[in-house]
Amino acid sequence: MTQTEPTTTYKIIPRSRLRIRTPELLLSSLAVIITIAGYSLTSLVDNRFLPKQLPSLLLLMIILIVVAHIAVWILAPRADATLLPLAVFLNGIGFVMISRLNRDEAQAQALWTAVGIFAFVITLLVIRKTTSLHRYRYTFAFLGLIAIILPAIPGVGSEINGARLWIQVGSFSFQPGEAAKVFLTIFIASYLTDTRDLLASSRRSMGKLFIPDIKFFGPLLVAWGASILVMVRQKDLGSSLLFFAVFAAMLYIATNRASYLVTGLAFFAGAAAIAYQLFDHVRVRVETWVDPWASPQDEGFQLLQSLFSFGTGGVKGTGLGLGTPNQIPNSSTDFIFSAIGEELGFIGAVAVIIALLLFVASGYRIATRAQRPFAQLFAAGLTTIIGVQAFVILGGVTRVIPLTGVTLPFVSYGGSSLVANYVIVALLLRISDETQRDNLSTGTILASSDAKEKKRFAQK
Amino acid sequence: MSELVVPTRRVARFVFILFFILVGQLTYLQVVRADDLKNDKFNVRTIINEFAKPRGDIVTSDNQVVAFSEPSNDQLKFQRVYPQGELYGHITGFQSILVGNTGVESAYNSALRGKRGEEQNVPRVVLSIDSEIQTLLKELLGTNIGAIVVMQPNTGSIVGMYANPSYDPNPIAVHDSVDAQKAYTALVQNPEKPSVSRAFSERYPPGSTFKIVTSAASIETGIADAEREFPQAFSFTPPLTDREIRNFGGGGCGGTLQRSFRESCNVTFAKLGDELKDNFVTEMGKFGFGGQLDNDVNVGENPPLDIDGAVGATAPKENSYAQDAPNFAFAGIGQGLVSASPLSVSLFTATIANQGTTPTPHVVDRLEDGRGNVTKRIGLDPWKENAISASTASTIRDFMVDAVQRGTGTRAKIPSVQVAGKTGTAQASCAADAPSCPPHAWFTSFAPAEAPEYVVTVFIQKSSGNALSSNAATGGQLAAPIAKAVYEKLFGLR
Repeated sequence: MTQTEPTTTYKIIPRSRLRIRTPELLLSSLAVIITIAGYSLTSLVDNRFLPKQLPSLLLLMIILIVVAHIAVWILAPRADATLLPLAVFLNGIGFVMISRLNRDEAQAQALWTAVGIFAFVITLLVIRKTTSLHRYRYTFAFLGLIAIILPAIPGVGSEINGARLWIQVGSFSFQPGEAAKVFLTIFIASYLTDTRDLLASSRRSMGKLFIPDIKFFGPLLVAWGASILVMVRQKDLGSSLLFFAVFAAMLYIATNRASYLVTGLAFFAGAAAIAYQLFDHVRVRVETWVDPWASPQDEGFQLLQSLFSFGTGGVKGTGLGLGTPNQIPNSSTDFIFSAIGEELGFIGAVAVIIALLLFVASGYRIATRAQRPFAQLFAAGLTTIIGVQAFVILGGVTRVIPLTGVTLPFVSYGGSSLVANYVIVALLLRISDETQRDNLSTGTILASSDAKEKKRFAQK
Repeated sequence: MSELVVPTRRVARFVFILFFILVGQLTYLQVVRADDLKNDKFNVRTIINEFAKPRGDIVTSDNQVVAFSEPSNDQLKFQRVYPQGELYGHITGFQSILVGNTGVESAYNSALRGKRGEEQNVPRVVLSIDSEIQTLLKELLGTNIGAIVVMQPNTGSIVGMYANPSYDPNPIAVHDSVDAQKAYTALVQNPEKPSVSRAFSERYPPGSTFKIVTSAASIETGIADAEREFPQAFSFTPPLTDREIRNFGGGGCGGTLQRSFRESCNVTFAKLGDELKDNFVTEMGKFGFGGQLDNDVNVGENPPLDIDGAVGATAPKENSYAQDAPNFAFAGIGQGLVSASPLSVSLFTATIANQGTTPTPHVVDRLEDGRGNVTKRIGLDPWKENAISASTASTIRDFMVDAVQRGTGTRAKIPSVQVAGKTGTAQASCAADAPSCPPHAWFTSFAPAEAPEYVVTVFIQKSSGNALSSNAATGGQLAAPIAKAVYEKLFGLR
C-alpha cells in the first residue's frame, strides 16, 4: 500500500485509517450518562417521578452525539479525541443546572445545543484547511468589527441587563460579540503570522524597553483599540477584558517578547484606571468586589448570594435540586457556576474546573503540535479565549477578580455563546486533524502521538 | 520545533495557574469559610429551605390545632397559621423570617420540620395543654392583668398556662417582611409588654405565698415546728432599721406556726426570716431562689421549661445577713429582694404536693410522626429530686389545707375535693409617677390534697375591677375564687 498525498478530500484516505474513534465515543457516552442521571435527579427531587421529557432528551442527545461523532470520524478522523466529549460534558452539566433553575430556558438550551452541533458539523464540512481562513483574514476582520458594532446601532441592538450586546431578530436575541471573538481571532492570528518577524525583529528601543515599529503594530492596535472602546461603550467589561487578554497572549506567542506583555499590561492598567474614573458601573463592580458586605441588599447582593451559594454547598453540596441557587439573580447565565457550587459542592465545582482545564490543555497541545505558524497561533488564540473567559467569570463569581458578566463556556445558558464555542471546538479539531495528516505525509510522527499509528506507519 | 511552541507553553502554564487559583479560592469558600458563609445573616437560604418544606402541626392534648402550615403562593412555600390567635401566643411563639422562631416553634423546631417530598408524613407536636382549660384561664382572667398556671405536680406537665396581655403570632409570621416588621415593632414597643409572658418571663414579689418557703426553711433547719408558739404581736422590727413590719390590715396575730400560716401572720414569718439569718438563703435555694449573682442580684437557675424565656427567682445575697438583716425579715413574707414568676411559685407549690421533689415543667407532651406513632414522650426527670424532705412537705401540705379550710383561702374551698393553698397579697414596687399601686393578688394551691393531681397558681398583677381598693385586691378575695373555678372545671364539677 502506498502512502497517498494529504488531501482535502477524505475519500482518498485509505479505509484502514478510518477507525471508529472508540475513545471519543466512550467518553461522549459517559458525558451523556452523567447528564441524563443529573436531569433525572432534579426531577425526582421535586415530584418523585422521572421527567416525562426524559426519553426525548435522551434521544436528542444520542442523535446529536452520533451526528457529531460521525462528522468528526469522516471529516477529521485523526483529530483529538478529548475535546468533543469534554464539551459535551460541560454542556450537559450546564443543561442539568439550567433545567433545575428554569425549565423554559432548558428547552431553549437544548435547542441551542442542537444548533451548536449543527454549526460544529458545518464548520468541519466547510473549513477543510486552515489556510483558507488565513487567506480571508481581512474579510474576517471586517465581519468581526461589524459584529461588534452592530448591537450599538440604535434600532438594531437591544439592551439587556444594562449592556447593549444583543441584536433582536424576531423573538430571538443574538449576541454577535460571540461570533466576533472567533472572527477577530482569525484575523489576529493571520496578521501576526504575516508580521511576526517584523514585529519581533524591529529594534527600536527606549532604554531597556523595546518599542515595536508603529508601522507593523499600528493596524493591529487600531483594530484592537476600536473593539475595546466599542465594548466599553456597550458596558461589556467581561468581553473587553477577554479581548485584551487574548490579544496580549497571541502577540506574546507570535513574538516571544515579554515586552509586549509588559506594554499590554500597562495599557490594560491605564484603560482600567480610565474606565474606573469614567464609568459608574465599573466603579460599582470594583467596590462590591472589595467589600460585598458594604451593600448586602443592593450592589453587593449578587456577589454575596454567589458566595453564600458556595458556602452553603460546602464540600459535598446540598444535592441536585435541594439547594436554593435561585436566590442569585441570573443564576443560569453568569452565575451558573455558583449554582453548581451550591448543589454539587466543592467536588462538583472542581470537577467542572478540571473539565475546563483538560479542555484548555488539549487546546494548547493542539497548538504546540501544529506545524504551521498560523495554525499554532490560531489554536492558541481559540484556546486562550476559552481559558480566559472561564477564568473571568469563575474568578468573578468566586470573588478572585471583580465581577464582569461573561458566559461560562459550554455551561451557561445562552445560545450565541454555545454555538460559538462549538465552532471553536470544530476549528480546534480541524487544526488537530490537519497536523496529524501533515505528520503522516511528511513522515514525522510526533513523539507522543498514537502508538498504533506509529506502528502502522512503520510497517508501510 | 516551531519557535512558537515555547511562548505557547508559557501562556498555557499561565492559564493553568489561573485555574489553580480558582481551585484555591473554592477551597477557601467551600471548605475553610463554608460555615461562616452558610450562617451569614444575609444568607437567607436556610430560612427559605425551612419554609419550603411542610411543617408539622402543633396541637393541644385534646387535639385542637393551634399552629399549622398552609401552602402559600410566594417564594416561601408555606405560611404558618395560628388559628387560636393570642390564646397560645406565649406557648407556640411564632415562625418568623424576620426575627427567627420563638416558643415551641423554636424549641421543637427540628421535631416540626417536615421532609421535602414527604407531605404525607409530617410530624406533629402534641402539647400537654388542654384547650378547654386554656380557654377557661383566659375567660377567668378576663381583663385582669396577670397569669394562671395549671400543672401536674408529679410530671411537670403544664395543662394550662395563660398570661394577660398576650399577643397574636399571626401578623409577625407573615412573609411580607415590611408588614412583619411593622407588627413586630408594634408588639415589642407596646408599653403593656404583651410579648412577654407574665406566667414565666417576669418576676414579681410572691408575697405571702412565700410563707410556704419560709415555713419549709424553718422546719428543715429545725428552728421551728408546727407547734412552736409565737407571741401575739402587731409588728416586728428587724435589726439595723426602725421600719416596722406590720400585719395585713394592721391587727395583731401569732400563736402556733400552723395558725400563723393559716392566718398569714406577717409578724411571725418576718421574725422567722430574721431568725433563719444566712441559712434562709441556702434553704430558699432548694426551691430555686437565688444561686448566682447577676448584676448584683442573686438569681436562681431558670426553671427548665422546655420553651425559652422562663426566668429564675431571686433571693437576698448569700451571707449578707450581717449587712442586710431587714431584707431577711422582708424575705420571710415574700417581699424585698425575693421575687419569682408565677411558674416558679407553681414549682415550689408542686414540690410540697410532690413530697419534696420538684418536677421539670414542660408544655409539650409528646412528638408524633405523620402516622400518629409516638416518636418521643416528654417525660422528664425531676428538676430537683428530694429538694426538701417528704415530712416537711407533708407538714406544709397540712398547713395549706388548713388555710383553705378555715384561713385566708376559704374562697377556694370546694365541697368534694380538698384543696390545699396559700394566698398572697404582695406590695408591688410601682412607678414613681403612679398615684398609688394596687398590690399583687396571689393564690397558689394543689388538689386533691391527699393525692395531688393539679397545681393551680393564680397571679393578678393589676385587677381591672376595684384596682385602687387594696382591701378587695387580696389573694384571698381575688385570686382564690379563680383557682376554685379552675378546680371545678378540672374535676368536672361544672
